[in-house]
Amino acid sequence: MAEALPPVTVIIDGQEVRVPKGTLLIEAAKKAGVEIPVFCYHPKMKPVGACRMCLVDIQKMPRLQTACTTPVSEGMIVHTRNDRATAGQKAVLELMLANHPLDCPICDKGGECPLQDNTFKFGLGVSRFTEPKRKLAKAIPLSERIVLDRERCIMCYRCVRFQDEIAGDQALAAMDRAGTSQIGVLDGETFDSPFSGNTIDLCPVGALLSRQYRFRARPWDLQRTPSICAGCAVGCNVELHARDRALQRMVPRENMAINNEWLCDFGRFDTLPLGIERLREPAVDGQPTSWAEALESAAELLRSGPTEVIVSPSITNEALNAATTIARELKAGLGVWPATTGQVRRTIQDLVTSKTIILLGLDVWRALPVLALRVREALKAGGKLYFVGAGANGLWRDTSATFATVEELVQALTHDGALPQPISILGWGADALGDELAAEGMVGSPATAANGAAMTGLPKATFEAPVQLLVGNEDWPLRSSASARIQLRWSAAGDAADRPSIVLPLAHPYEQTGSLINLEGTVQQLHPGAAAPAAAHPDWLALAELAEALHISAAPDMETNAALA
Amino acid sequence: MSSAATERFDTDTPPPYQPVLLCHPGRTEPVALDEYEYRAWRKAQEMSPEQVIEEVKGSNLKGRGGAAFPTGLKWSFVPKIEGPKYLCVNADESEPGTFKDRELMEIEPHMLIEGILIACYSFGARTAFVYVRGEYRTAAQRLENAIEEARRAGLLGDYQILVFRGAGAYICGEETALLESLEGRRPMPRSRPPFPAVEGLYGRPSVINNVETLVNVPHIINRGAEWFKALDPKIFCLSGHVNRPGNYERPLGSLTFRQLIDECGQGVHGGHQVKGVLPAGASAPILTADKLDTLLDYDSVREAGSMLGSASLIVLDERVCMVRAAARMVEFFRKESCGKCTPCREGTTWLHKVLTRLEQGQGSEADLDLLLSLSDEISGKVLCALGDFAVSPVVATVSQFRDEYLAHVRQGRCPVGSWAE
Amino acid sequence: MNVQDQEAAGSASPLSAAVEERIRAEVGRYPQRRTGLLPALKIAQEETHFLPPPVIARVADMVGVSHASANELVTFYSMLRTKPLGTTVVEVCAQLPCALRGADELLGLLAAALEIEPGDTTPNGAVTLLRSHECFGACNRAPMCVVNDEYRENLRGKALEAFLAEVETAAGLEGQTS
Repeated sequence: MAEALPPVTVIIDGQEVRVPKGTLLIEAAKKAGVEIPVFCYHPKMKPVGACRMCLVDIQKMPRLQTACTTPVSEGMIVHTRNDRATAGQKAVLELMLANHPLDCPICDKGGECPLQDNTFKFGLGVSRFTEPKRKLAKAIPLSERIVLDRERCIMCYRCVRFQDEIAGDQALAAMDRAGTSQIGVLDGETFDSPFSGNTIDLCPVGALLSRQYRFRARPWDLQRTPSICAGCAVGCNVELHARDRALQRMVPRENMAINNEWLCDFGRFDTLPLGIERLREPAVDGQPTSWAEALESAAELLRSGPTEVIVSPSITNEALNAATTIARELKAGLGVWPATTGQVRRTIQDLVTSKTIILLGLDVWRALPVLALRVREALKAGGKLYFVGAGANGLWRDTSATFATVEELVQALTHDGALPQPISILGWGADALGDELAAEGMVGSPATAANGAAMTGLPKATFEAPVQLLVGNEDWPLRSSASARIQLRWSAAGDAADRPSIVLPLAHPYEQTGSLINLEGTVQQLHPGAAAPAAAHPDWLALAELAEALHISAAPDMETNAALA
Repeated sequence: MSSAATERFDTDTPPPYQPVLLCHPGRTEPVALDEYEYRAWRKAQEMSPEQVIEEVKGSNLKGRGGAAFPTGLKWSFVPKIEGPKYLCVNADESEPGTFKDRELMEIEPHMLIEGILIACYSFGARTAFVYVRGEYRTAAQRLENAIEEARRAGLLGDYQILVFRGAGAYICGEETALLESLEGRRPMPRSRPPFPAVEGLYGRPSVINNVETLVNVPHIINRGAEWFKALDPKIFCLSGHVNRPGNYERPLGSLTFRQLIDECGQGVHGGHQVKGVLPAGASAPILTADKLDTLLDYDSVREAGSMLGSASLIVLDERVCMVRAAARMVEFFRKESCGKCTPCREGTTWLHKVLTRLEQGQGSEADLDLLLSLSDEISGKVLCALGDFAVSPVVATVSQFRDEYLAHVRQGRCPVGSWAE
Repeated sequence: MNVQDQEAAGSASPLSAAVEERIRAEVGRYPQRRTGLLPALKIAQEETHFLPPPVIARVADMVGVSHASANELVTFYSMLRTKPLGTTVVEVCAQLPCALRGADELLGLLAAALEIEPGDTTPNGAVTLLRSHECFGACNRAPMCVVNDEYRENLRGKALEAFLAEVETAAGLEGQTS
């Protein structure tokens, strides 16, 4: 893995291509622009050669070989579309489709289905299978998120391998054997993994599907917008899918510097404003009103007494900028809540290449889930993981040792010599330990909120002022009867008893532009993937309008932000 | 035939063969430690590991589990690196018609243990797993007792032999599926490369050898490669319609199918005639009666159009319905398929469904072409040999007994009743 | 949760302390714990006779694998059972070598004697009759069957008569066949 292997020349369908020695034939073909159909092969997981779809004809080898398990050698001559190879492809598809149900009209996968695509391109037009097809359970709720159709499954094991190799929790496995093989969990249990949603992306047929998205749209109807997940400080890259400007689902985009190509279930499913009651118009004392009137009332209230401006650590930088200006001009307090802010030095890439990773009481698996997957990449490359503390540790399966205190860890691990670098340390006290160990990896106490890294300097909000301006969609602490609140949020306000004096409706992060800074300090752009309710404004715009109402000059670069919309 | 076997002057009747492996004929209790000398183990430890491998290479010993891969060569593939290496003994004997390893473990456990030790010594393994099929309770128990006997007598030194019992899966007889089973995973064969010699059990260099292969090893060490090369003993399992089914040890190539059936099996049961013989259990094409004078060795059987494999000879007489026989064998492969690869998983199911219909008289002539076409779609496209074996009964019977299939089609039922005496 | 937490958590174990001790010893024999998963499941089955989800979960926790992974093995191997069977299980080998020596007929006789179909259990739960597609390696002593993991071979003639009588007794159906 250290030095690049010498290149070899391979001829695929008459095309010469040079790739490093040991490259899998399936990857060499991609480089040559030759399409070899696959199902079980996935570049991020170990090849298994199970589906046999990628059988190709390699000169001098009597049997067809699976391209996904064959490393190239110098002078290898490969045919992927000659009579032998196409006979193999047709054979595999005919057999695979023998028991596959004709569900296309009612199957969500239709239109983005590798089985459909490969059959169309590489298969026979008809099947000779006239026996009764095997009957297995359909539409089984494997969990609250995932529904399984056993008849559609082609046993490619991608889902099982994902849970084993990537997530490490082996939450899904195969069951039975031979012709009734299927995938599943223990009877009576659910598919319980924070990363289960990725199996929906991986499944090449309509066997594992999203319950949230089921029957909502056809892929050719969708508008796709790149954006950023607003669930936590990892800042996974995503694509928002909408139909007629209404958000349907969110899927990951690959970014090897940040999230690889994964999402966690919380981000994928729970950050979407689906099925959540929206705040649709401004209101003063519970009475719907216009923006102009609400802004005027708000400005009056803000000028009436000591004020605290309280921001959620998930609002955009542009909104934060405006809120800061407002607080300064009003000579009001400025605080963040919850204080899930933080900062690290170095990057996620440095974490992925670390040889030693120390978690100081930080349960990365729960707090920054996809970061836990990146930690596992480091471990697969030979790194070791240690945990300090008695609290929960979702990465317990991969932890080499747990210590009660930092001192114990240092003593146990450094008495034989220095720990292998790069060393990454995450959690409270990381900087001190980082100095002690001269750590060269990612060090610090990371933010966990979507824009928490931008607010490290902010103090924690006190909620003591008589007038409070709350910006962002948090579950704010109850208001004391002595205070008055102005809330800017996108979901409908809570309990009437806690009803703020003034509410202004915001767009959801997936409905607006704006920038967020992730835990390592990378600035990323949100893009609107769906339409906000007519009267809801982006957070930065709402605050700019409030500043205007206060006769404060706090307008961010409106033109730039408008152009990004 | 070796000169050692022909000491008499009377050349019309060759002297009876003196078994080397099943050397306690008629015995039902295991040979105990005080009856067995670990002479070869002592001798091997005075040789270098490389010399041991050379001796086994020179003997031309080939794997007795069916693949017939040269054993010494297999041992020589293990890289000379630091760290654990493993020997896995394949005692998962599950091919229909095979029961030789059972007898070897039940009667000659120490011969096996000695073979295991010498093998480990040759390529640097310190731990050996004996993977015994779950159903062989007696064999596993007797082997465990013998290992304990040997351990207490100080014969094992710092070598460890662990008996691991399976739980009912033919596929565990496939080398890499056996490794997966030992690792506590679903026993599905692995893609190769990498090969077990380089990355085997727990990712470490490993060798998988059949029981019968290993019991030959002490004799090679004791009596030399040249002696063994000339003798080349093999245990033939004889079952089906013969008067005396059983395990019979003879030198490879020293007799024909007919001679084994007549001399060892005492002829076909009930005065019937041989219709066909399956030379390798269910996994190789059936040989019709006109091939009975084929010599019992790997090359001759291959030239006759089949494979000797593990030498599990099943004799079928003229009353047998070939369609039913084929369906029964394909049923085995259908249910034992692990399900990993598409052509085997779907193909064996489809084949069996068509064969069942044909057996019940609900097939058509077009089904015969379909069977051959499906066999072609499966064979050579699957991940492991099970898929290839599964088409054997189909192709061999459809091509050689087509008239029986057609009789089922035309009569709308199976024309034959019971096969039993 | 850590392995120890997994083991300790939850209510009373469905396995006896003695069996859990045997499982711990078995798992500890091997270079890697997971090798002990299959043997552990077999040890548990010896006590509980079949493997319902709570037992599978408990063994999985003790070995340190996911419940789904343990379930994967249980549902794959023929000798591991997920459903309860009768007190006596009679499994008849029906593969080709035995079929050639009367296995199908043997199965028929047993079914008639027990008055059940292969695959079923007698109403009193005493005897389950199974037809096995696999070969048990007793082809030289055909036909045969496996009764509660014990080989019963050479079931012909007088031996067959005695065996049928024995099975009927086990089922509480004495004297039904001549």
